[in-house]
Amino acid sequence: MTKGPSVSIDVNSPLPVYRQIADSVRHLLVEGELQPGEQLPPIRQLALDLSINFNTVAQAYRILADEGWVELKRKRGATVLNRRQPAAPAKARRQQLLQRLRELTAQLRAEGVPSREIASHLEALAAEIKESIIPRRIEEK
Amino acid sequence: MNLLIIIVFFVLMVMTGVAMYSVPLLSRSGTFFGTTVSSEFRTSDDARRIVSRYRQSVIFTTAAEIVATVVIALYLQIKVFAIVVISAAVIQYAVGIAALVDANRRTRPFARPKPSSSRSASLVPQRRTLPGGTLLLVGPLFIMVSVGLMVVSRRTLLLAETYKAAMAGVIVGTLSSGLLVAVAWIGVFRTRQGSANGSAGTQSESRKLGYFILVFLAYGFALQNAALSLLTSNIVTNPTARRFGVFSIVALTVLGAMVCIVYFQFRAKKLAELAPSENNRSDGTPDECWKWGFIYDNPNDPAFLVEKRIGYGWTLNMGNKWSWVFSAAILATPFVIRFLWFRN
Repeated sequence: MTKGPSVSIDVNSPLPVYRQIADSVRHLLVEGELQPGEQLPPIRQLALDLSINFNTVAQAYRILADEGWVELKRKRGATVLNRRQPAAPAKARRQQLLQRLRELTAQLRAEGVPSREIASHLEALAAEIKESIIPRRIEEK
Repeated sequence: MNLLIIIVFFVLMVMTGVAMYSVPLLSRSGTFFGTTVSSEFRTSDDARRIVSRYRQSVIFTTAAEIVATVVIALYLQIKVFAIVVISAAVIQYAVGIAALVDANRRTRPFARPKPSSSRSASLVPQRRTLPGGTLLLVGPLFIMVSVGLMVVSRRTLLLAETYKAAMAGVIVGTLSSGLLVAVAWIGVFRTRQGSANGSAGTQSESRKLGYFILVFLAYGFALQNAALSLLTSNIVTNPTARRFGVFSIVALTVLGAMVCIVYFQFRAKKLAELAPSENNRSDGTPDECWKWGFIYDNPNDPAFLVEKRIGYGWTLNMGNKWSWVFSAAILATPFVIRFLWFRN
């Protein structure tokens, strides 16, 4: 029995499925659960396993390739790249992403998630980010 | 009346009856007459009632068919006998399918709750291998190519019509066994793996069974057509071999199929006991897309082949346009062979 990183989607979610796949795989990449050199399953296989259209998976893989996370190869799926730390995005882009974070928080509140729960999740997330910054600084030195 | 013909029909009827009788056992224990159920459902009173009702129809029809065939064989001419026996076989199949549809309808209320809208898939690339190796899979094609070469090498010694008839056997054998080999290969390498953390790396037991059934059928078709071609082209000249050659191959194939059915029954029981996770795994197909429990039609599923719900192996997703192309090609093949190969 093989266990390892897996991707989950919700077909009834308002978020497009290709975004869910890209977000899910990106999360695994950021967390280091997928290491450089590892292979992702071919587009057709992942589409079959998730019972979705091939183009949806292809779109998700293209997003990840554009962001520099993976390299796409014909019939061999995608290979995880050793992605270099990108330069900080432009001020406008940064504002856009932070705005998305605020909108997501607002959506959570609008859908009835208690504010305290959202705050504790954000604090946990902040703690995780801080922990990942310190080892990286040591590596850079 | 030729006793040999009566025996052949008798064996075929009994075999069909046994196969139909075994249907409830010839599928993953997570599915029951084409509906996903809990693995405990199979041993419940409701399940027993459904199985009993289904089997009564099968036993009654098979018994009636056998009695009718024997009685008619004693009094009627061979031409009438053939028509009656073929009609009886059609009725046997029709009643079997109707009983299956009825059992599927009765099982629906006991279906497992519909799975949530979330789906998962493993990101670990699969390493699937052909059970038994590549040689086992290409064996039927090897047999047909060898027979084809033997027939071609005797072309100058044969009448044009005899040569055409012998080669027709080679073409039909190659296409039919090739089709089964192709389906077996697609089933292993190009189908859904089942669950996110389940059988990604290895072939599950039910898939292996499905694969071996297809390979067995491919050998059966190849051997029968090879024997017919060898007899037609007079490559086999021994009178005893000529008289019993095809019959013994047909009989051995039938016998082999019966042994397999019995073996799969025991195997299925063991599977149910040994691998509850395997039996409870989802095949990734919603119940409502299974018409009568054995026809899968889901336009939202990109799969070309999906695991069968009744029996082992794979079946077409009729919601995929390529399944229609494939079905049309299979139906057209005999006519194409008839009109192109025997044009003159």
